[in-house]
Formats: sequence, C-alpha cells, structure tokens
Amino acid sequence: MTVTGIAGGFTRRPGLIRIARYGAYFVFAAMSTAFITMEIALLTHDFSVSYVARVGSLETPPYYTAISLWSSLEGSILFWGLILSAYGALVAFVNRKSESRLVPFAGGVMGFVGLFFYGLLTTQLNPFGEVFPVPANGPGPNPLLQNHPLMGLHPPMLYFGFVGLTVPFAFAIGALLSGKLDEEWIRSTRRWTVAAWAFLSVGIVAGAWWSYEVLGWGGYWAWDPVENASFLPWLTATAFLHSVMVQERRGMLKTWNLTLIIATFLLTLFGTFLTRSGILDSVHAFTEGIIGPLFLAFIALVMITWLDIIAWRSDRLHAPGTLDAVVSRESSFILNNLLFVAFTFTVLLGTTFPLMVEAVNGNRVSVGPPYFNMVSVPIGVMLLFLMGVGPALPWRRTTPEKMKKAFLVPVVVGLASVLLGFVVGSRSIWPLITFAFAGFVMATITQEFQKGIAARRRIAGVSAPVALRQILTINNRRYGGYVVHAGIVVIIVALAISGTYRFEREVTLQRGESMLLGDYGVRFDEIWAEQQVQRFVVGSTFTVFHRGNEVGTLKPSMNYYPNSQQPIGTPAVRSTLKEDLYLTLMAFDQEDGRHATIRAIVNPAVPWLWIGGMIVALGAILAVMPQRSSGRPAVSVAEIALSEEPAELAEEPPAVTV
Amino acid sequence: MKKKQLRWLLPLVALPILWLLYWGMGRDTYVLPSPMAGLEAPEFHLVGFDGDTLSLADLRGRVVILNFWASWCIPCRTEHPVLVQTERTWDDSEVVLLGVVYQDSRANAERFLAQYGGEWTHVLDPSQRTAIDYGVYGVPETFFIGRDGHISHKKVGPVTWDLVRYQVDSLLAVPVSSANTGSVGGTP
Amino acid sequence: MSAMRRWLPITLVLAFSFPATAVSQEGETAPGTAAAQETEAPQTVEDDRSALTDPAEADLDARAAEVAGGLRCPVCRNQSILESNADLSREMQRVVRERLAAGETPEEVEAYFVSRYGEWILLKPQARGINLVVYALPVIVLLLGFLLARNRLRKWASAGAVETSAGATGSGSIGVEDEEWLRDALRES
Repeated sequence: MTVTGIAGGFTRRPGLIRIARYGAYFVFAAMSTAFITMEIALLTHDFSVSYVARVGSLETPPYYTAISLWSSLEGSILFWGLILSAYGALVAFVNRKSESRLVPFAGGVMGFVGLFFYGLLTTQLNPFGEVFPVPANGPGPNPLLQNHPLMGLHPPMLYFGFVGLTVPFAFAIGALLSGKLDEEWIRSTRRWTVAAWAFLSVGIVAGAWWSYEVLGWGGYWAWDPVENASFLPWLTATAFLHSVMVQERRGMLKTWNLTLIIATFLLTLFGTFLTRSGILDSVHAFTEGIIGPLFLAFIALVMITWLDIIAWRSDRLHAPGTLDAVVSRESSFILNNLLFVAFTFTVLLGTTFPLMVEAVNGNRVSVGPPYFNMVSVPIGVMLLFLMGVGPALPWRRTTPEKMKKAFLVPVVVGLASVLLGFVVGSRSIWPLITFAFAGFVMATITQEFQKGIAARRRIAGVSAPVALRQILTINNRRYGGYVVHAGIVVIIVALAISGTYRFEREVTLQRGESMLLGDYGVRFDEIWAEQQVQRFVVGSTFTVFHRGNEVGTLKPSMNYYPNSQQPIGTPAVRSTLKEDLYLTLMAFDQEDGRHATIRAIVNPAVPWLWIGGMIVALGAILAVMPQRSSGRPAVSVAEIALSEEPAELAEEPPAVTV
Repeated sequence: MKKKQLRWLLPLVALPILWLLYWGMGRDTYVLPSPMAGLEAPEFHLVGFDGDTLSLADLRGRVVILNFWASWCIPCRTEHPVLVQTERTWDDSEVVLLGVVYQDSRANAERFLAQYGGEWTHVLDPSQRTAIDYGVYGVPETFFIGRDGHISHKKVGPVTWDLVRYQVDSLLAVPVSSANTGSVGGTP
Repeated sequence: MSAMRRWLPITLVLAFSFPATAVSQEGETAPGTAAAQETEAPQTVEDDRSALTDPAEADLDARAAEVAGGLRCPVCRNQSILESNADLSREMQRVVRERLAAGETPEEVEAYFVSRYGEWILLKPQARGINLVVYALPVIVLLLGFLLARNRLRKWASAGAVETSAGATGSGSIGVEDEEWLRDALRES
C-alpha cells in the first residue's frame, strides 16, 4: 500500500541526481514502513491482512511468526524489495559527494530493477490485501520452514547476497550506458561485490546446514534445482571477483567482466524464477502462477538489453591484451575463470536438461546428485589446484628458480598430505588427490602470510603478531582473500571426506535392543508423543554409546503439522569435531511403540563444513573492512619499502606448519 | 555496419533460452508419461475385502479398469462419481472395475465407500508391491487393460467420464478372438 | 478436545501405514531376526543385530544402497529412495534389496524400475541418445574454452614480449612480490 508508485523519482536521469538521491532514501523509508507494518501485522495476528491469513497462525511461536515474513511468496518479495531499497539508499548515501558519471546511471538501473519488484508488490503480489470475513486463525507457515532456527539466518543471507549483486550489476550497466568503460565501475563496487558474495556464501552454507538439520535425509547438498539456483550466481560471482583483478592491473578482460557480472545478476533472477514458477520439480518449489511469466519477461528484458548494449559499445570495449608470459598470475586467473564458467555451464545444463529433453522429444529424465557429483568433483579438484598455484605465481612473469622456490615446500606438503591420508586409511583416488592439493594450497597460503609478515617486520621493525595484524589491515583485501581460500579448502576437504567415508545402517530395533555402527552403539529406549502448540511430535529416545561408554541420548522425531499430510522428520545429531552421528526415525510401532526403525549415519568431517563456512565469512569480513586510516599511513610504508634494500623476500625457506 | 548487425544478432542468442523457459512454464511437472502403455499388465495376487485372493489372470478376456485410490486422497473423491457411473454402464462380464486400495486401511476404505457409494470390488495392496509393479506415483492412477492383458492407457489424476468411455469403447471394439493370443502375467 | 479431533486424521494415517511396516517385519528373512526379537533389553551395548552385519549381508546392503541412491523417489521431489522416508520409497528399497539378493545385477534392477516408472526414475540419465549431450557438452565446452584461452594467452604473451623488448626495463631492482605489495599499498591508501 505505502509502496505505491514511489519508485518514480528514483529513475530520473543525471540532471536530477539530487532528486534521485532523495528518491532512493524515500523508497527505503517507504519499504521499511511496509516491512515494519507487515511484521506488526504478523506478530499481532491481524488476520484481516491477506498474507497473515495465509502464513500466520496463533499457535506458531513468535520467532517463527516473525520470520514467516519470508516463508511465502509475497512476503519474500516484500523482503527482497526492502533489501533492494536499502542497498539503493546506501549506494546513494555512500556516493552522495561523488562527481562520477557512473553513480546516477547506476542509481537509475537499481531504481529500474526496484520498479519491477515494487510493481510486483503493488499489483500481483500485494501482501496487504484485505480479507473479509476476517478468519479467526490461519494455517501457519510451511512446516519445513518453522522447524529450525536457521530459517532466521539462511534466507536473509541469501537475499542479501542475491540483491547485493544488483549493485555491481547496476554499475556495470551504468558503465556501459555512460561509456565510461575503464576500471572505475569495478573499483567503486569492489567492496559491495565482496560483501554480497560473502552473504551469498554464508547463505549457501547456512542453507546446507539447515537442510542437514531439518530435512533428515542425512546429507547437506542435494543438487536440487533451487540449491543450484543459489550456487550458479555464486560461481559466476566468484569468477568475477578474480577476473576483475586482471582488469584492475592490466586493463584486460573488459567485456568479459561486464558479461560475468551481468550473467551473475541474470542467474539470481533465474534462481528466483526457478523457485517461483514451478518450472522444475524441486523440494522448494512454491508453484504460484502469475509471477513466473512476469519474472521471465523481466529476465528477457535484462538479457536482451544487455546483449544489445554490449554490441552497441563493442568498439569501446576492445582492449588489446598483453601478457609478459604465459605462466603468470594473470593466466592463472584466466584459467580459474574458464573453470568457473565451465562449472556454471555444467550445473546450468544439468539443471535445465530435463526441460530440454522434454522439449525435444517429450521424454522425462532426471538429472540428480549422481550426475552432479560426477561432474563437479574433477572441476572442483582442478579449481583447488589452481587455488594453490595462482597466489604463488607472481604477476607478469616468473623464472624457473622463483617457481622452484615458491612451490618446493607446497609440493612437499601436498605429498605429505597424501601420505598422511594413505596412512590414516584413505584408499580412494579422489579424496587422496583432494588431500594432496589441499595440503599444497594451505602451504602456499601459509607461505604468502609468512612472506607478508617477514616483509612487514623488515620494513616496520615490528614483532610477528603485530606484523600479522598490520598486513591484515593494510592489505586486507589480499590477506582476507587468503583467509577465504583457507576456509574453502577446509570445506572442500570436509566435502571429500564426508562424501566418501560416510557409512550408515538402517535397522528396526525392539525396545531395549541395540545396534553397532562403527564406534557407536545405539540402544532404542522408547517412543514418546507430545502435543506442542503448533504441532504433534512423535519422538524416540536412543541411548548412544561410543566405544562402549554411554555418551548421551538422541531423540529423533517425526513432527505432524495440521497443514501437512506427510510428517516432517527431525533428525538428531551428535557432533564432534571428528564426525557426526546422525539418527533419523524412519518408522515406528504405532500401536504401543515397541519397535522403531532408524537410519543411523556416521558422517565424518561434517562439522568442518560449517567451520569452513565461518572461516570464509571471517575472511570476507576482513576483505571488505574499510582501510584503517589511523596509524602509519600506507604510503609511508610503501616509501619505506622502496628505501629498503631490495632483498629477495623468501630468503630462508619458510618452515611450513599445516 | 558490423556494429548494427551485432546489435540485432547478439540479442537473438537469448531467444532459444527464453523460449525454453517460457515453454517450460506451460507444462505440468506432476504428470509423467508412463512407459507401460502397450505393455503387458503385470500380474498380481491381492486380497479383497472379503478375504479372497484375486489375480489379474482371473479377469482375462474382460476389459479391466484398475484404479489405485485411497480414502485420504482428495482427487479420488472428485473422480468417484465417474467410477460409479462406469460400474453402472457396463456389465461385469465385459468390463471389470477393480479398486486397489493404496496406503490405506480396509476400515478407512470401507467407510469411504459407505459414504460415497460404489459396489465394485476392491483389493488391498499392503506391501505396495503391486503399486510399484505398475509404476504408481500417487493416487489416483487408473490403468485401462484390454482383454489380452495389455495396458492401453494410464491416467494419472482423476479420470473423466469421456476418457473412461473412450478407452473402454475402444478396448471393447477389439475382437475377443485376437485378445486371447496374449498371455497374461509375467511379474518378474 | 478440539486438538484431539484435529489430530485424529493423523492418527488414522499412522494407523494405516502400519500394515506395511508389519509386513516388512515378517518379510525380513535375515537369520538373526527371530533370535533378536526374543532378546530383552540388554544392559550393555551389544549389537543385537549383528547377524545382519555378516559380510554377505553387509555387502548386499551396500549394493542395495548404491542402487537405491540412484533411484528417484516417486512421491518426493528430488530425493532418492535411499534418503526418503516415504512409505513407497522404503518399499522400493526392499524391492531393490530382494532383487539383488535374487541375483539380479544392479543394471537389471534399474531396468526393472525404468520399465515401470520410465527413465525419470534414474537420477543419472542413461548415457545414450540425446542424454549424451549432458555428458559430452561440459567436456566440449571445457576443451574449447581451454583452447581458446591458450590461443589468447599466447597471442597476448607474444604482444607482451614485443612490448618488453621495446624498452621497458621491467620492475627495476625490487622483487616482483615487493613491487606487487607496494602497488597494493599505494592503491589502497
């Protein structure tokens, strides 16, 4: 309601920059009002509001009521709109003193994107519709979405990521429109992009975690179309984060970078389209009519405009590339991009392949985890390898001696990792390769840090911890990036281990009976039932033994919601740093609870996925932190660097600890 | 010039993708084609409400409408009147309507039938093996089986009277003599 | 009271899904089952189901899980029957196990399900006909991309070589890493 027709002022062209800026603030204020109004309506159970009537219920606990704002279509679009307007206002505010020609264009593009969402909200998807007669109660949100507190984290993070990618997109289009095609658009959006990327990464990891803790199938990533929809823009955004560095340094890859970021934005739209149009079967599909065609029309508009202006600006985009040598940091970035794009292509192909086959010959096929795992493992391993090679390669060119110096220790560490893996008992080829590269990457990252610290100590004459802090604040982008890399390595290793070495057993136990699985013993104690406010829970109690010692109880359950026919299982997980014991209640004796069927899974290394995710977030936070202005200015540091004896940095082979 | 051409040609790249997505929205992902049409109907031995075991072989020479249903299934209620009409229209010696109760108890099924009517035979499939053998996804699903024991059509979702009449009429039109050549059975 | 009535349908659902479980209990022909059922609540952790883990059974379980992991659950969206706790999936899992136990190969078991449910049931498309596209295209794209990148890199490198020999002294006396670090520092200040 309040949102109507506000976006207008936002889209004005350059001459009206001031108006546009205040327009952006106003849109944000209006969206916030709408958002707060909706939250109040939800929390006060005002069932005269159509959205509340659909997702609210008196029985739902307040926390889940508050977050049910994004549990259904209209609310999630409202939330999307709020975030978009917040980004818009923030961009306007940060650049309020900017003289750049880019900003008004970018603001205009953001306003245009906003127009689409606000338009949806005020017409097709108005969550504030009136309901008469006013119902006394509502059905409550989708049971899956009120089953775990992570629902408060995972969707907002994804939205912040998705919507945040609008900013670099808007600046890219702004660059194309204004013809200002140098590196400015990249520089001015660098931190926006990293922040959006970080949100997206955290959102994806949180989503995997949620899936693991809630869906009860024992895994964390199912290559569901909607999961893929969040993964695809992540892949291209990651490629973009790397390839812009080439353009910043060498002025190359202009068209490529524009294409990447626009493709990323399109993939976020595509992801939303997949979720909302019901075009592919998915656990998450909302399948709600009209919005599909509208989204598709918007995608079409963006796609065609993009291709058209790229063609229009093609003469200005031509930038002859030069390289000093084929083996260099530049080429490792290009290879990285190639792999990321091939990865994106493959996931996109797999996701839409059923649709293509059906369009061609009417057959229905499925493309599921076995396919995706098969294709992603080799690509992932190659990327992992590059992650080790890239940062250790200098820009421009290198010499065999330097190569040897840079890679000797990492190669040794890599080989040691394989040996370690082998000794511990790993015999499968892919995990062993993964260990090798992981050790290699970790060693190069450590070396990079050591080099940085050593240089810093020599320049500023400070102690090692101080030097570490200083390189992290002065050159936060680079070292933050390495921290992110380390987090990714942790995740990849955890994926390799948990994917290969999990084992499971499904058994029907009588009361008091136990079974063994690896080091664990599980005894079935009882079945119990409990009527909770919003659901009916049938639970089971199992006593868990580890190497014969009682270590606790696990209570996997099945939850029955009034608005769902199938019970929603809640697994019970016992986590240690080494592995998870994951219990799911599959079936139980409905008459007197004398027996229960459980699926017990030992999932090694899974907690490291979440730890890795946190490391990634930490690194990303480091990388986006504003430059510290206090302390010694960086320039003088640089001057000192110049005055220093030009010593070779890696004089002594660093003692690498992994 | 070249640039002008590019401005036309590049956007064209988008069209097949957009068309595919547009086309994709128009279809129903729930409906899946069955590979079983034209194949021999799998044999089953299922127990009816009266305790007798019924096999497909017992029905050879007659047109069989095999209807998987459950009392909890809402579309089954929609199609129920059509089935009642089906039962009334043809004689049992020509066309047999057989309900297979799917993931449901006999008591529930009987309560449902008492409420909505219908006198045809029902069998229980407690292990769901017959449903799996017929490639059933969910209820209701209806198979039209000719006198020769071959499946002519599978309908996912509620049947309509037009469909039933068309299917049964065309199956009845096949002469009885040619129908006896196919052998019934063949559960692997 | 009203809550009771609301839960009634659910208890009914529970009640009629029971027979399937019961049947499977009887149907399980594992040698240890009967013995295990007699055991009363043991005080220590012992595997009352150890009979089920004799090597042959364990091997069968593993093979069944392998096949089941590749079959799509018909009543869920995008889950394999291994992961799903839907009644139908669980019964299909038993079918897989029985067929393997009866000596069928995994391919034969898959073929059975394909004959009943169509190719849709396979989570990994069969590598034939049009499906080859989904396997071949990523490889082709990667190879083409690689060739393209290699040509480009070479071209750029030769352009760069000309430029360097034309007089640029390069990075002077400081090391490449130093220079890079310095640049970063300068830029970000």
